[in-house]
Amino acid sequence: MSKYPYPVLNDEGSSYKEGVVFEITYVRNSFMGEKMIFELDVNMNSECLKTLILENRAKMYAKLQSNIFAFLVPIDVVEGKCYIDVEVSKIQANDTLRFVAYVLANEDIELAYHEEMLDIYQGDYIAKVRKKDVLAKSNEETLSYNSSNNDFIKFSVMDELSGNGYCIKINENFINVCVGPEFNGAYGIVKNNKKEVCNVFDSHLVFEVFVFALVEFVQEYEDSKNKEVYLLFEQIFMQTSGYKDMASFITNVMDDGKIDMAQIYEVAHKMVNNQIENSIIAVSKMEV
Amino acid sequence: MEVYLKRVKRTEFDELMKTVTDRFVQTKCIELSDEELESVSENVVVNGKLIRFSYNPNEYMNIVNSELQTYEKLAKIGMKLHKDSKDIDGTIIPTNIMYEKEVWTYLSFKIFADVVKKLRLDDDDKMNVDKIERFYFNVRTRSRTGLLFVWSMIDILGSEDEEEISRVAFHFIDPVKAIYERAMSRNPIILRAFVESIIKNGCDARIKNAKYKTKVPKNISCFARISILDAYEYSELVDTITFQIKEVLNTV
Repeated sequence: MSKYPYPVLNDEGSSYKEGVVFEITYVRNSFMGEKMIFELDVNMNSECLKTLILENRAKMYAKLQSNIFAFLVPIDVVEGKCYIDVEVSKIQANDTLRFVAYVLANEDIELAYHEEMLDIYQGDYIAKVRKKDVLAKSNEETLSYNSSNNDFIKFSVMDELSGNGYCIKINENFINVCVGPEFNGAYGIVKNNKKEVCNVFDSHLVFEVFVFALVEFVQEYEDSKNKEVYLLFEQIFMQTSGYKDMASFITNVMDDGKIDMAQIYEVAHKMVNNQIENSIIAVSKMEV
Repeated sequence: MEVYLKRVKRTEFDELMKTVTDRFVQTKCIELSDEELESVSENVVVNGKLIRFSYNPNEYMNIVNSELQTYEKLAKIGMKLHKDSKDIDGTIIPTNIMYEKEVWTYLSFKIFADVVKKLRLDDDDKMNVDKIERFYFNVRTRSRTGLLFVWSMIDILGSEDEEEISRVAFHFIDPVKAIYERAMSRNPIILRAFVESIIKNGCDARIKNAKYKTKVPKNISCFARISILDAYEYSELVDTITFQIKEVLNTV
């Protein structure tokens, strides 16, 4: 049942018939200098609303909301697409970015029944919709920025590692810390009995991940630089390490074909402490 | 005075909070030496650069020791903090860093310790673990923290140079906080328009009394569920909220 006093095409409790949809189908982010660009695809098949938009009586927007800001941008209704750019400095390390699309009235509208609407609106019913009122609201899509716990660093238990502690594997778009059952059991005891120690434990693991990834990326830079996992890693690296890019770090860290591990440790330490929020350090996603 | 911007290391944050609060439970004093704080803190680095900012401690102490009302002091401190939170060469320190609780923990213990003590904690008898966690460690809801909240209010309002907006926001702190705490205030124009609407309503004292301080923001919030405030032109938004406030005040 609609929570609005007039018909609204809504993700939940829509006043429109089945098959009439308004949805965000695709969200992707990319970097351009100091800006993050979000690309959104929106699908809306309501003829009733399309007519209102074409008559300039309604307008389609996308709203972006983070932990510390929110704003609205118009969507090109023909393309069903919009690009939103945000300064990276405004996004927190563990930010969750939420996207919702709206169709809003552009003027006061008398909204009559349309065959796309539920039959309960049939008859002489005419709804008075004010300027800026919601005519349609899409599903909410979320993106986690630098969110190691969801996207970047994942933990999993592997029985094959029994007696062998843990190992780190770089996958296509995340880094996987695989732990053996004994390790997992010990982690569970720490987690359940001494929460404050657990953070130290987690940050140690993240530190190990960063050391491993730095060495890997320094050695395999040319092969890795276009992989998604590397691009995610580079975001954190550039914000936290004191280097402007990975290439200048590689020049510094390579000494006659050998890696200067002292510098690797130093940068990994900075990365763990300088930008990674508690929630990222507490990547305690292991099944304990 | 020029200082480097630092933060308590995230890996040390929880442990430090536990140490300070445990000590408080035993001694009833907030004890943290400079050496201890420095040993768990680190410089903030932005694109490879250490951040330095400049502030005058006397200017802050003059405000907190003045005869001004508390809300006026908070407004002035907030404006000053916001003005000072720029790198020494004038670059604004990235917003995401200024919203970090670990940065404000360092600032509250080290740089602005006297200001925090004077503003919030004059009466030592009223001190408790919850207040230490909120005012010094900036945990829990941001609107319940110390300097982080005061700074963020000015940041959202964009009122670093606008005394009236800043003062009214802190004078009508209950209804303003009620809007601040709602997700809609993440669009800064909404909180600012709300404060400007209070001014447009002649700073009617009823807006902050027991009856209306929750009723007014609740009404705005209900209105915002149907009408998307982010879509308004600023002047239109101020007029709309001014009208909404009037409507509520006119109800018995």
